[in-house]
Amino acid sequence: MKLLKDPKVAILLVFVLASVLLLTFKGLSFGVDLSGGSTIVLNTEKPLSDAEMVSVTEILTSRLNTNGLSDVRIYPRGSDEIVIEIPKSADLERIERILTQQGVFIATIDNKTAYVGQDISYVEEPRMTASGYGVGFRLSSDGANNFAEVAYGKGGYPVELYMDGNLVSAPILSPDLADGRPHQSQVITVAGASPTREDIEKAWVIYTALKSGSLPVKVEIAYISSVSPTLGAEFIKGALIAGLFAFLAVATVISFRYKNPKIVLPILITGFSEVLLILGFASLIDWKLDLASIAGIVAAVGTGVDHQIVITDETIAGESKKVTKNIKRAFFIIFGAAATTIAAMLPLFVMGIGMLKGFAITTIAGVLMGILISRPAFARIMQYVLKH
Amino acid sequence: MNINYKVLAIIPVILALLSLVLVSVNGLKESIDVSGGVEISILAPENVDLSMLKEKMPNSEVRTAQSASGTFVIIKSGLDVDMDPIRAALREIFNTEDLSELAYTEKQIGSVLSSRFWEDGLKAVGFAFIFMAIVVYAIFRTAVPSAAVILAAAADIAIALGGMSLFQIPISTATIAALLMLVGYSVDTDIMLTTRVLKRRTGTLDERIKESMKTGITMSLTTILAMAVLLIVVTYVVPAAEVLGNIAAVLLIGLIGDLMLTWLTNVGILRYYVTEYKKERN
Repeated sequence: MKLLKDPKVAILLVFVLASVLLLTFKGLSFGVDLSGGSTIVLNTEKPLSDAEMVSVTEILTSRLNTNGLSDVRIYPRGSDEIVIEIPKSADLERIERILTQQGVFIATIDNKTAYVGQDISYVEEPRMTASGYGVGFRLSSDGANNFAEVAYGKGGYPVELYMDGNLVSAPILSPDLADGRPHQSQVITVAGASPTREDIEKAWVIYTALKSGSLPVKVEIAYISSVSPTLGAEFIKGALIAGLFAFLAVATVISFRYKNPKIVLPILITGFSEVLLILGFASLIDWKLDLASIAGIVAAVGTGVDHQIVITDETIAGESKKVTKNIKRAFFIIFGAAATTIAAMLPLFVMGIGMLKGFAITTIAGVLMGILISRPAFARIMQYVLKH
Repeated sequence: MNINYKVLAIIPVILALLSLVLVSVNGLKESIDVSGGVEISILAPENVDLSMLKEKMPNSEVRTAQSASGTFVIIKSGLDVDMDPIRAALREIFNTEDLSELAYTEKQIGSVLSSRFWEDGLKAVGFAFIFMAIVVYAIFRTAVPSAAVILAAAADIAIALGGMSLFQIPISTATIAALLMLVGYSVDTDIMLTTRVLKRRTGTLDERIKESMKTGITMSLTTILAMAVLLIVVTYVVPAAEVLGNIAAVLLIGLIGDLMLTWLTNVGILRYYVTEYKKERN
């Protein structure tokens, strides 16, 4: 097999082998829309400085951890977006609340501020307390002193507890606490002896906000996508079935046109090797494949097959001495077409309507690997096959 | 033949213009990417009472789709609908404390993102188009053939948009991706045709066009059939992967349009360029 010694064919084989090894040993990771899980994008009210962004992501991470969600990926995108990826199905309702709660906490008695979130030194998990279901916490000594001053003589007044401007609880101040002495232990009650699901959730949201502190700005949910693992598996199954049938459809058209297995097989094998190359590349850079990336693979392989048809026809058309010239023209067409495809994808890659970035990356990577690795090799194979 | 190739060349362009008229009159269906709102899908454990769901969610669109793995219930609501009662109703109807136990999928787009959609989408398509045009001109460095390629790509997008309006395929980030893919596919065949006609020295003009057609139609047919298959598989096997189905449908319509644009319009312009325009200049 002289063909195997051709450098271009050898390069393709090496890269395909490397991809197969990567896929076998390193594997592929799927984005949350295929493996199941949630992606949440938050918008901040105004653009943040880097330092503010760090503090926001830290607070949000701590809030999610507080609620038993570890393994969460959270990162800023630009100066006003925060992306959160949770790799399993989770209770969205609660997550939404704990994320979007700014967490500014103020307690007032008779319209005077008794204490604020920063005065709280320790928070207990929601539980049944002597005065009802709620969140117990301790004030710092400064906070307790201030509270003692404001509360003095106000027994029987309500203590109005505000979270982000909303009244969450207004227990009546017992005369014991209004004696002018500092009392560090306090409770926010949200319900009586039999809390409902909503009450429990509310208590957890309060607990989380007190524990992690308040966010420097308001955040709003821009995007939530939560996919159950069952559906993710459906998608992967569907994509594989669709891929297989699409492959058969392409094989049918090509067979009908060329009727020669020596031409048809190399086209299909090269097309398949391009899929392997893209997947290998995704594995290498730890790219998480999502639905958009699959669309990108379809696009790249689709243009790949188109280009192989161009190479094949130019090779067939060239009589022996003109083959080189014809192949040169084939590559002129291919490079031109590839350049326009990449040009069309670049805006998505740079400005990223966030979710389409995967699409742009896989398409561009696929097209580049096609013109640099697989198509030059394919041209050699075609030349060889048609001569023998 | 030589007389009516100009007439034939105009037909696809008229079709593209009619598509634009259709879009402006009929509008495009908006996905929640554009309008904002929530889309929920649940793989129903058994036969669900749809009427009960509809009753509890008067302001939402409720429908079902059958797939190999069961019945999907799909609920769509606008931005102004409060999600909490919907989720509460679902918990009650499906009798579970935690929705994530069901095959529960939710997608929610807020007002900030949805209002930025048109701006970002237009920017993406606009810049893609400008970059593509620059590359095409850099390849051929002659105005008329380059303009023909760019016109064909623009008309393909117009026809695809017309098809989306006609078949109620929603405009979404996914279908914008499909429109960009269409630019790539459309330009592939046009560049092949233009290069063959202008750079090949063997054969007459008609022979070169005929040879190009053979290659180009094979190129388009592989993609068209692959997309048709994708559309069928999504519709009947994984209806929940609607997004992939939408991409396939847009490409299918656009590529069928591209067959006409490449082999009637672009060929017509090239024929005129080679036989008349260049001679006049010489």
